[in-house]
Amino acid sequence: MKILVVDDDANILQLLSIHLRKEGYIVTCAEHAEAALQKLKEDTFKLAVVDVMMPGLNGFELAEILTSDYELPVILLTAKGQLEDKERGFNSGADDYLVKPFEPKELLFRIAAILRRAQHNLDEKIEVANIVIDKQSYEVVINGKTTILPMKEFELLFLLASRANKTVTRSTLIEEAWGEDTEDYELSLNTHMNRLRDRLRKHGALVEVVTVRGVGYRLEEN
Amino acid sequence: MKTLYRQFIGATVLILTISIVAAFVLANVVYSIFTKDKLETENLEVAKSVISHLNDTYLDKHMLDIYFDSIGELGYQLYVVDEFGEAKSYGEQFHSYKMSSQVVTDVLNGQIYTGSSRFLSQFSMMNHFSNSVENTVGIAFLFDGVNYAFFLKPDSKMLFSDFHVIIVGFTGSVMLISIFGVIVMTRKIIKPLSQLTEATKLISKENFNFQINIKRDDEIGQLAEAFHSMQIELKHNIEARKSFISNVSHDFQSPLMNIQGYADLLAQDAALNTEQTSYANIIVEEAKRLSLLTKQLLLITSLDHDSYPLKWEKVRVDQQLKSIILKHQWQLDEKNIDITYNLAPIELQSDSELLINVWDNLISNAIKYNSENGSISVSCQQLQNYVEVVISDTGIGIPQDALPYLFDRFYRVDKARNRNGTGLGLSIVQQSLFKLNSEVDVFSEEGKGTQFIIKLNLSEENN
Repeated sequence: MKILVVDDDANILQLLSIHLRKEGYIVTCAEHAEAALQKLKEDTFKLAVVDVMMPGLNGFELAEILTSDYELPVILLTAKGQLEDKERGFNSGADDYLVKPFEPKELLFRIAAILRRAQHNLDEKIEVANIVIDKQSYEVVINGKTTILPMKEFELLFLLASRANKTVTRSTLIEEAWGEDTEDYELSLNTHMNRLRDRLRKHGALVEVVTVRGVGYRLEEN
Repeated sequence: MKTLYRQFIGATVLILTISIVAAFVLANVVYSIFTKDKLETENLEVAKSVISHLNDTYLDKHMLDIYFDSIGELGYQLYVVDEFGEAKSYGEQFHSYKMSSQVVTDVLNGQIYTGSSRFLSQFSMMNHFSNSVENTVGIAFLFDGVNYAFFLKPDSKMLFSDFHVIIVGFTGSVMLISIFGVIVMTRKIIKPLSQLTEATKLISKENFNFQINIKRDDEIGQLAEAFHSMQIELKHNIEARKSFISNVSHDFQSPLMNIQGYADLLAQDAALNTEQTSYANIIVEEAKRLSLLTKQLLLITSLDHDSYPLKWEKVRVDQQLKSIILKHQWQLDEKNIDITYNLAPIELQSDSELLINVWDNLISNAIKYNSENGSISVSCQQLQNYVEVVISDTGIGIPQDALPYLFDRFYRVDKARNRNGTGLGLSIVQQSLFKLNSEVDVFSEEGKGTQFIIKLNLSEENN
């Protein structure tokens, strides 16, 4: 997955690319808007991370070009947390907005959310028993109360609910939620499933995640 | 409001009234000093010549009446009393025939009567027009062996001639035109003043682009010019302040982000020993705290000004809360904190930026001071005359003895437990809500959790 990062501060460029590469993204850096536009002629990207305060074309202007001409999702970075800037950011077409200093993890989380949103069909809503799962807003409504599940748990619940009362294999779940089917995620799957069960019980959902030994899981209505 | 417009017209009417009264008094003085005697002498001359003509001509008693009637028709009023007390009047009727018999006797004895000086009070011009027998000149004459007292005055009707109508019309039109002129002039003065008022209102809303179209050479023109230069000055100041804030933010936050980020990379380096890792972590934590402190100090200094420019606008409270929750989602994931919310769609008049700060501080506190696998619940609902927002967590809680100081600046419950606190967050919350005429309550139990209840007042909507 290729990501374009634009910032006039070389140290921040390096910092961000270290974290992004660790997460498995392929990173291209540009120190100003003109360089970024040049890179876009040479390559295609899935997403751009753009700093607002840059000499030459500023981040808002670049974001406008990227979103309208290249249909590229943009995350704006800024040191100014003021609301005016936020509004201007969203008006320029940016998908998200991060105020410096932010933790690299926060950026990674936002990138993952945007890329996932871009992949999925947006208008999906599933209802099982007393729960409603909204793929667009990542919200789960149980008993009329809205809750936000951690991403992995949400993905797992969504998969199970979309095939309610049918068994979903472990390998399908891992592939859909983590993107690749490896043994590495087996333990992680168990942990997340247990957490999901706890959560559903806590919020009074009238469904149960049943383990089908050696095969996978099944969501059943109580 | 007492508008300038009404005041100007009122003043004009008042001035006109006063000048008319003054002119009247002045005319009376002139009349009593110069004109009265002159008129009297003239009237006496007329009376004498009437009598002398009478004596020049031979007339019988019958002809005397005809003679006097014809004099009456020429515009005089006559009153004739003979020595036997028989009175007769000619010409236009008198209004009052009151006349003391003493006067008649005196005139019969040859004295000359000048009514206007005797009967009339001093300084009253209007009495000159009084249609009474007393207001005449009187002399005696002898006719056919009988003594007569002869009284004469010009007919008041003749005095109110066309010329007087012209004068009244003249005065009236002067008054009307003056009032009309004042109306037009007042409009001209008031128009630039209303423009300046409009511009002033816009300036208080930080809009400096109102063009004042006043080109005048007078004091109002000077005011407009001074206003314009003030407009430019203010615009410059506000822009300077804003760019200062954003420069401070940018120039502080970028290096801090680098310090924090690279120290974090160091801390994750497996080659370091435990001690070194903990040093790197201290750098990370302190850099975080410094950057938060910078932001919060900028905010709290601007909140400290009484004239903090509140921007009242429609704010969707539920959407704000949701966006703040989403902003912190990654931290919730990381600490495996469960968040539920029940947000009714609520729109109210408020300052968007201040409210966002309140939610951000409270929700990040709820995360920061929560326990692993804890939970947070957020709700907002519209009650009778306020909107209630409740944010509760299952965190470490606050000791009872700390509650009274919770909103004090730089107060931190437990400085030893370093959670990147600055001691400013809750102070900002309280101060922001104070600006919005709203309040915050806190309930907490140590080890169990904390609940913040915010009551947003609706009654200030009119602002």
